[in-house]
Amino acid sequence: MKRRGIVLLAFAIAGVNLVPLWLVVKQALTPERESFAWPPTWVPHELTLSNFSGAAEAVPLAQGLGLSVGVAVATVISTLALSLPAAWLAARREEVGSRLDGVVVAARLFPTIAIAVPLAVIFVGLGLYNDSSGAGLWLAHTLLGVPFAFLILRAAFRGVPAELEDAAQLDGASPWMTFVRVSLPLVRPSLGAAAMLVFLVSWDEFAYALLLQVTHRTLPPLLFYLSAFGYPGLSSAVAVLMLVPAVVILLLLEPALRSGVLAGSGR
Amino acid sequence: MANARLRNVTKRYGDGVALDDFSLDIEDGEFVVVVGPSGCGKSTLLRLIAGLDPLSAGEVHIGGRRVDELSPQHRDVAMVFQSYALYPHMTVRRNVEFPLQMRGMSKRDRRVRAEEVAELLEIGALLDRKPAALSGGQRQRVALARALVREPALFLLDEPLSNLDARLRTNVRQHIRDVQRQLGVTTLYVTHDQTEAMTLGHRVVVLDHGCTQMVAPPLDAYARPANAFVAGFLGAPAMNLLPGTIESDALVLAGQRVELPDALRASIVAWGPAVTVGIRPEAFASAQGGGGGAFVVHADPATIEALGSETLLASDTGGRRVLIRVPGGVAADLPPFSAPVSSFHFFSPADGRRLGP
Ligand SMILES: Nc1ncnc2c1ncn2[C@@H]1O[C@H](COP(=O)(O)OP(=O)(O)O)[C@@H](O)[C@H]1O
Ligand SMILES: [Mg+2]
Repeated sequence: MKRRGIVLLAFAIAGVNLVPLWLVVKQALTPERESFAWPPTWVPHELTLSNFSGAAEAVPLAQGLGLSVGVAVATVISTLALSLPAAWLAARREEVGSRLDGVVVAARLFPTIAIAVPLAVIFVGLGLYNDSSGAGLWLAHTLLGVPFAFLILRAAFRGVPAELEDAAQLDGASPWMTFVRVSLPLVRPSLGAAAMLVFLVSWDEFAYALLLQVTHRTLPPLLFYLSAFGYPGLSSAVAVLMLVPAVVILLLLEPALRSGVLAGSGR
Repeated sequence: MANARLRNVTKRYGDGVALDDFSLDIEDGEFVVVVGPSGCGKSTLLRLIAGLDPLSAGEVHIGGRRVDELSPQHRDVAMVFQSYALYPHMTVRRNVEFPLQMRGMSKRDRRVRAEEVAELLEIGALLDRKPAALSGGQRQRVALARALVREPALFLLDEPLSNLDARLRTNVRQHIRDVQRQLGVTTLYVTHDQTEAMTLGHRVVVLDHGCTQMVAPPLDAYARPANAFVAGFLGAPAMNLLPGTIESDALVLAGQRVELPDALRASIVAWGPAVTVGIRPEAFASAQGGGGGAFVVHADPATIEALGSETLLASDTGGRRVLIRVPGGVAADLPPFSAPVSSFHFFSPADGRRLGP
């Protein structure tokens, strides 16, 4: 009885999330007039890719897709490169950890949109404003991503007993080899999770993308324009493009979060 | 293989001293056991020697080379951690090969060497398993194998048996001793277990609150403990320590007058008047006919623990609990037990120091 309740609840939650998702996908794949049909149709009558080609004509979609992917991938790399050593140090040295905590919290306290304007001014001076390769946006997204990655990775490193690193050193490993051969493999699932979350942070980011780039835009502002100017079909097509990596990451993330790599190190 | 010299090694944490002025020479191939209660600084000692924590003062020499400024990977020291610290993401084989790999040994040689050591420690069948798929005793042997595989100059073990069940502990204890004798590797082994202290090493170091209490071969430490702490720590059940008062020709112990034999009287009287008297539980025997020169107690029948091979009893004498251990069983009518003065140990009540020879 109780079990059936839980199953029903799970279906309800899934439904609440999946219905709008389905509508977006349907809207992207059907002619625009069907989007406005009343009563709404749940199953598409007519399938078409015209929304995608239409969106590509209305806005620089290919460029936006390229820029979104490029900035997100670069953000993941730079964020992990910064967060890994910081998280390791914070996990191993309590005094470092507590200090970095303050920085991370402070970084998350300010609304992005409020920082975006002064940041744009600074980037104009640095020649990073509206950069065609998205370098300015990449820097801004790295700032957004680091706190997430830092917190995830610090928790992961805390779960790795320091004695494993001690043992590796006594086994003749240099500090670098100790990190690469012992510490890093043991936080791999969390590293994967952090990478995917940071990817989504950048992929999804709107405020900086809107205010730091003008002619070279990523997907979220493009979607915003199409939607704001009244093209539900076209904006749904962009939305579907944006959903693809999210769904892929969701599927990849789930097993990674489940595995227990640390089993068996101790008694 | 090498000797090791520790000179005035000291470790302070804040205003506490974890290890105080510790000096010890370990000979090439020697097996030294450091024993002491939890928190006395045993792990600290090993971590200082291994280079995992910096010294506050002192020097560490291994094989004639001063190493206390070197990082752990250059000290040629291997350690078995209390937690074993196996790499959970590697198979047993890769765990054991890891130290060789880090030293740049070729893949072929590594494999051969790892299999040799696996043979020695009887883990050959486990080589392709991950640590998670091993029992506690198997993990323990893998940890030993990983430490021994590269023939370190100095081999450190931190309470390696404390996580094993009693039966396994006896087996592994003997195995460790055999392997050490066979390889002749200089070994420092720390434990809080007095059985391990008595049976494993050539010499035992008794440590308390970071201070060395005694360094001696285990049987010497048992026979002539340097102070009351060592007396109480080595031997199980622990030695009875009772306050005594020396009068002109007798010792008053727990309200009982014990005559001093002529041969001992002169020296014992000189230590008085107040002394701490140590009597091992096994010094007691069924009292035959009484007679002077012995401490006599009446055991409480309710305390009998018959183990078959021996019997443990206790007696409340003059407000003190006295433990007794006799071989075999005891008669149903429970005779009095007595311990002769010649078996007594005397300690200064002020500082615990051993009095007399
Ligand atoms: N990192 C540390 N910081 C402060 N005190 C410590 C630290 N490590 C050990 N100590 C203290 O040093 C003493 C000895 O500890 P340890 O060597 O672990 O004892 P044992 O291994 O004999 O149980 C203890 O009192 C412990 O509290
Ligand atoms: Mg310890």
